[in-house]
Amino acid sequence: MKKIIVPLGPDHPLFEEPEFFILHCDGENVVDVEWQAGYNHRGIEKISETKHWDQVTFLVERICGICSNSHPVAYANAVENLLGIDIPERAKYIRTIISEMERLHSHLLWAGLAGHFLGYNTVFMWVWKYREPLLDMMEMLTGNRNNYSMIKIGGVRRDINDEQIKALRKTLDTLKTQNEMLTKVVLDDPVLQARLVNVGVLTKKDIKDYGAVGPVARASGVDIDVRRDNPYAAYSFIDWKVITRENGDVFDKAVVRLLECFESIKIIQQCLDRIENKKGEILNEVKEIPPGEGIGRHEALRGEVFHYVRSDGTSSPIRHKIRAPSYVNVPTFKKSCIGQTISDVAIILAGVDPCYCCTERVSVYDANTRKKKNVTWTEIVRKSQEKTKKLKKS
Amino acid sequence: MKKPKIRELREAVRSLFSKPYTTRFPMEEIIVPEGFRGKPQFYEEGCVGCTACAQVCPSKAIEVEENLDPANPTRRLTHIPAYCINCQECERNCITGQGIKLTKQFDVSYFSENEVNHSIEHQIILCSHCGGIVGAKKHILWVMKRLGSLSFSQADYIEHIQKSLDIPAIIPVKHEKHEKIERDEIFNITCPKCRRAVYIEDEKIHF
Amino acid sequence: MKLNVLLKENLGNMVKKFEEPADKRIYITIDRNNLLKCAEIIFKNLDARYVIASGIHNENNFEMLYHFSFDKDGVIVSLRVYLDKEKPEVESLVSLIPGIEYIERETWEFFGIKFLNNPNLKHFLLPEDWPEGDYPVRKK
Repeated sequence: MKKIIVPLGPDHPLFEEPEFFILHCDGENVVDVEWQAGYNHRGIEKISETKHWDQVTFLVERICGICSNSHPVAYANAVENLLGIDIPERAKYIRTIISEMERLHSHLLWAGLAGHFLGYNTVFMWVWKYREPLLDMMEMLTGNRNNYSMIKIGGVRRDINDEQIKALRKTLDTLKTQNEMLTKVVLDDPVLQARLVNVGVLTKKDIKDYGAVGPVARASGVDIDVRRDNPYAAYSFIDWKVITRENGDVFDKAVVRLLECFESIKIIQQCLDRIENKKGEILNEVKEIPPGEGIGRHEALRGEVFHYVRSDGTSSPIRHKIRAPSYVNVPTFKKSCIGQTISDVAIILAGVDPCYCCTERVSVYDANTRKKKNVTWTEIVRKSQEKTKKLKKS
Repeated sequence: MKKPKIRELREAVRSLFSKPYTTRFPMEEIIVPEGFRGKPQFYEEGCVGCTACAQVCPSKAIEVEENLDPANPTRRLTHIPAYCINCQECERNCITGQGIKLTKQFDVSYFSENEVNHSIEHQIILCSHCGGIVGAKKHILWVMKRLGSLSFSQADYIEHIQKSLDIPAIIPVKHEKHEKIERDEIFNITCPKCRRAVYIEDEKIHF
Repeated sequence: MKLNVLLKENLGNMVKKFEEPADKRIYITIDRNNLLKCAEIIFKNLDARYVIASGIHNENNFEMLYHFSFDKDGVIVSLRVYLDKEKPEVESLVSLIPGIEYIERETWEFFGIKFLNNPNLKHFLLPEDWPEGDYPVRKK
């Protein structure tokens, strides 16, 4: 039988994670997946060794546009672990609020993109409209819609005042009702069920083998969450629960993300209760970093972010290892894509949330004749959307 | 299948009769909230030219150029928006707190770099012995003001203080330049390296 | 049983040095020949989750840290292995943990640490035609 190789990517370097996949196909079905990365490698670990400890916070913030609070939090946790210090209570609550708002806006962004891949552009438009007030809130609290610059080693850089708390509460209330409707729409829709249920299934063993984290692991029934397991910031003072699902398909990943939004809203509201009408320190000044090593973790929206730093007592780290969640989530494609059709690959890849939206150039060529057929990413998305249309009619 | 359709239909009708969610940006001005981190700006009154902002900047967006011409030595600080990440570290670390501040300007599109690169120039003081940089004039005056009467202990500045107080010279200052540094250059303005030589090293050992 | 006691018991005399510099952080130094055995005990028998491995270029040697997470206890256990400066080589863990393939490839191309028995040791982040012997993250 003729085997077709479909290269997927690499893509537009403007976006977050340009990746390159080689799909080995048998007709429409995927038999094997290879992953090639490095198209957006900026050598951040190396640059970090040339910057001052305080400047590294801004460097790691720019690893990813969406998790621009996750990396600084993990880095600050790592340095604080090295120093063995604690941060002021108010700073803990503020870190929690910003982290959860980031999770909210990213999960909504993902839901919109998933809708787009499936040909539900209405969902895309709605969700991104709901997300907009959140970004405005971020702009008000931190001074920018993205790249918040809120975290500093030893605390946070900005305080939140009572007026801002009031405005934030109002936004969260409207978002909650909107999110409720969205969740219902996704859960009831028969076409979405047909497209997502039992697609790209990951078992518990796959998760363990590849070390997958975050919503991907939780959708497969692996109950891990750094926020609960190794609490940092204010997560141990607050009442919330970890969402898990058993099936491990794309539908469950979507459900986990949508339900996590409610948890995030709950967490933020509790944090706001604790800091309203109160004043307090927000920063423990750190003067010197002694020699040693530290590990910091943070449950980012896509999973656990891991930072390892080592100091020799000078003004910059001598080693800074960063592991983003996608590094372990992406290889699970090796398991989840196999046996699926090419039209489902788009949503399976998107199910992991690797910011795959950016891929735009795909070329298909025959492995035997080396004859090139140019197929764009748009075409794959179109294929996926056509499948939904067909399902809608039947 | 019926139920979700009605729910979605209601939202669709509502959207149809509400005004567009997006703003008409170039035609309509966008009002950014208080505390927005926009493009930084130098302020003539506050800036003393100490270069603290350039040192803390994570992305090296503030360039320092020094002109060591003995007739008119100057230092120029230039802010380059193309490198700037609007992190506010410069404002937070400004020694006067008034020298550089973030504005609300977010739109920095330009045709040529000169349109947006914005700079401030300061007079600097050179070491009377070796010609090296001592510091910006405004910076030294600012430090002296903060020190108050304590600044009398700094022999270099005695002449200036005497002049500024408008009193006749209590200690007459001789300005003799020797080929090799010697003890009586204590009253001349010297860079830290030469001052160390004047104070600590023996006069007979020359550098 | 507490995790540090459990680890000491299971790893026995393979442990060269046992450090707990902070709460919930354990660093265990082992000999590089025992790596596969220790990793198997931690990953399989004690059911830890693989997090990542990090290579470090020191003045006199290379160092590999294998981080494992015990999620029930919230503890990070790092296995520390020192490698030879001239010829850094270490046993690959791919047979045990399939997901570790990528970080081994990355460490190989950035530090020049060779992973024995890794079947797919080719360029991952760097382009295919990257000059041999040029390891960008090594210290000069």
